Amino acid sequence: MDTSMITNVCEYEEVAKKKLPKMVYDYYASGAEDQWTLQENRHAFERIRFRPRILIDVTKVDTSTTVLGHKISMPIMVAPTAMQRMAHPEGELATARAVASHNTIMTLSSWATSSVEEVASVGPGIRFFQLYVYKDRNVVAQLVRRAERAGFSAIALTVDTPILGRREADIKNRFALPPHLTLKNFEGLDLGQMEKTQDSGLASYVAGQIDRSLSWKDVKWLQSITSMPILVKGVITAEDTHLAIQCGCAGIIVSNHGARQLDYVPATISALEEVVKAAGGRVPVFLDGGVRRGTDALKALALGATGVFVGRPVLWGLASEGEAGVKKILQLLRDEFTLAMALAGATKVSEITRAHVQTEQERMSQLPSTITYSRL
Amino acid sequence: MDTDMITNVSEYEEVAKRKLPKMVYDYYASGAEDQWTLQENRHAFERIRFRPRILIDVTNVDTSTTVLGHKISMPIMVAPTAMQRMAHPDGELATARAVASHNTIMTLSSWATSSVEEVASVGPGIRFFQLYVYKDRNVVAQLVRRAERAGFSAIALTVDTPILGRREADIKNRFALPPHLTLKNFEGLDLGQMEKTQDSGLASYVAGQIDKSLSWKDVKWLQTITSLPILVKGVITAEDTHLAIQCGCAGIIVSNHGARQLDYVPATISALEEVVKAAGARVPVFLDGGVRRGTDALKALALGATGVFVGRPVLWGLASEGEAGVKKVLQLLREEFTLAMALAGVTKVSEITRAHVQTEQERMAQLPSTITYSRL
Repeated sequence: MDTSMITNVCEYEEVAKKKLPKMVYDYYASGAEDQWTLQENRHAFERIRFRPRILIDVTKVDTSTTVLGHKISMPIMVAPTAMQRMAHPEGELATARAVASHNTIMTLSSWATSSVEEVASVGPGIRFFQLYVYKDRNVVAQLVRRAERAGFSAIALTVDTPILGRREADIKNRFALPPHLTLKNFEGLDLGQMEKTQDSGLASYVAGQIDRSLSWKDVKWLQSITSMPILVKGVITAEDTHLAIQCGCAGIIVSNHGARQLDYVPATISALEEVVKAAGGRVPVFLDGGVRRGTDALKALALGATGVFVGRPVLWGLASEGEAGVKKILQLLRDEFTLAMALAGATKVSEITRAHVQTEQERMSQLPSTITYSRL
Repeated sequence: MDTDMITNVSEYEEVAKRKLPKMVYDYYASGAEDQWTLQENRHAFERIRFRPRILIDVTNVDTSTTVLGHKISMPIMVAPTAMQRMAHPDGELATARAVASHNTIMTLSSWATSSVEEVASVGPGIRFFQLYVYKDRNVVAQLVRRAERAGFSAIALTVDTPILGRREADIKNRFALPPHLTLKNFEGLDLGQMEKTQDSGLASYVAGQIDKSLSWKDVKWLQTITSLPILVKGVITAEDTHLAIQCGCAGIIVSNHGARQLDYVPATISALEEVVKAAGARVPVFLDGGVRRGTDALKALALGATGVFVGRPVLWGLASEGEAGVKKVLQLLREEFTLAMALAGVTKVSEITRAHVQTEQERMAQLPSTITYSRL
């Protein structure tokens, strides 16, 4: 498909699929096991409907918002996705430039093929650093300190991955990072090699390094070694929301890791309200998982999210056209979100309310009216 | 498909389908009539979602559990499926070896192509004997006594088959046991031949032998002739749960006979909670029907089952690769179940609770909050 004719973010996936080696595309695209949650992350958005308000002056629609004190152009930000140089030679640097040009936030993956320093060298930008807590706490402390020094503004701590989820394509493909690439943040650190084994090479690597014992006390430890705000990424229950807030986290990202961890968890848009209610306005709540349209972002905000993160579409844009592709992805989402706000009758993000959407539960609880009416 | 590359239990079905004669595959695979319940046994699992707890130390996940006093490696056991030598020359003996190597429980079908003595001769293992009550009570008594002497630990009494369900493929295929095989437990007993008639040959045989008059008094009779604990297999209502417990049964297997009896009964995972609530922890409740993933077992346990039985996947593993195939099927389920426990945040089977899942009813009952909240 001629990319100048692309009219929505999903169309980039077809382009990317044709360009990328199967092993790479499969790694990016896969969910865990039956990939039910992968589909559900999209389907659940479909079950939420808008209640647009009409005859409102929408001459000026302002999509800007503030996240952890940073003013950004729109409540649509970039999620951490690993190993972006598999998609395009410029990898995370291309993404960083595109995101900065849109004045929104980029989250850099711990498993990036570019280091925090390289990404920071691209120029000014608001960046978060996604962190896995490894068994070697020194490694973690070093990473965090480097992220701070490189000007990153917050930590997104992944809490849903004590073990890697079962992505069957990666197992069948014996997925391993292409040999000319490396997890740049770990260069020079002794962490073991990713070996080609019976299962996916990444799984072997992770199995060796990810700390399965990670628990709430480690969040407290993390807070003792950094003053950066910590977002807890991967909370989807009210119970864990309360614990996260008690622990002093700065925010929650409702996430199911792109449906790559435990299959048959709810879509993040389905889990969002439970977390928002439990948070009770004490910390901002964000969402990732399945965001493909400006309308998805509007739904998430109406249900209480402060913002959303987009994952795979950035990879598809990157694979298709590098920095220009990522820019286009963000532009499409920005244009769609602006349009959706206007058509819903909101001119500022703060004007988006719960009444702008109707959930499936509300729809199902609409009982028939007992009042008869005359049709004119 | 190269069986090295099999990454889930369902993939063994494709391999088996290619290897087996149509009549045999159809016999194993079929449900009754429209096969609605057959699909529903799978679909209903999809409607149950997880509520995983994060930041819990899952270094050591222990999948072991105790069933009727027997400690086993995981709450996933093997259901009775008939005539396993149609799948593979080693039939039930291969299954018995594979199950014993996994230290879990095998249920031997009354309609096995290997006798209880042959199965016991394979070596030590925890085995249950599935029983149909025949018109000739002497036959039943002999079978039960032989099962006891062969070291079987419990009876699984099938109560949903006063008449064979209408499996249309078997009728069209004029299903009959291949002539070189025999229902080994009935060798030497005068039970009539399976004849090729207008309907499936098996139906004729069963019509002649199964006692349509079977009722609760017969359960009491059965208890007088054996001290083996009796599990009642095929209960799906609260009313029958109460009656079974009053009758002194040792446990209930919520089962719809692999969707082969009455079509349009609920999926067993849907019926489970009603039975669990009625049982009120007086006896253990088990489930069979549609278990294909470790996540299915976790859902059943969260809803109150003590364990689950797996039927068809064992046949597919057996048909594909004999004992090695059955071993692999059990290994896949064991690994998936272990992973699911870890990702859900439980380290022992006893830590699995109702709060780890969300049923469709709970999802639909989430009504909109009347409290407004501020988005940060």
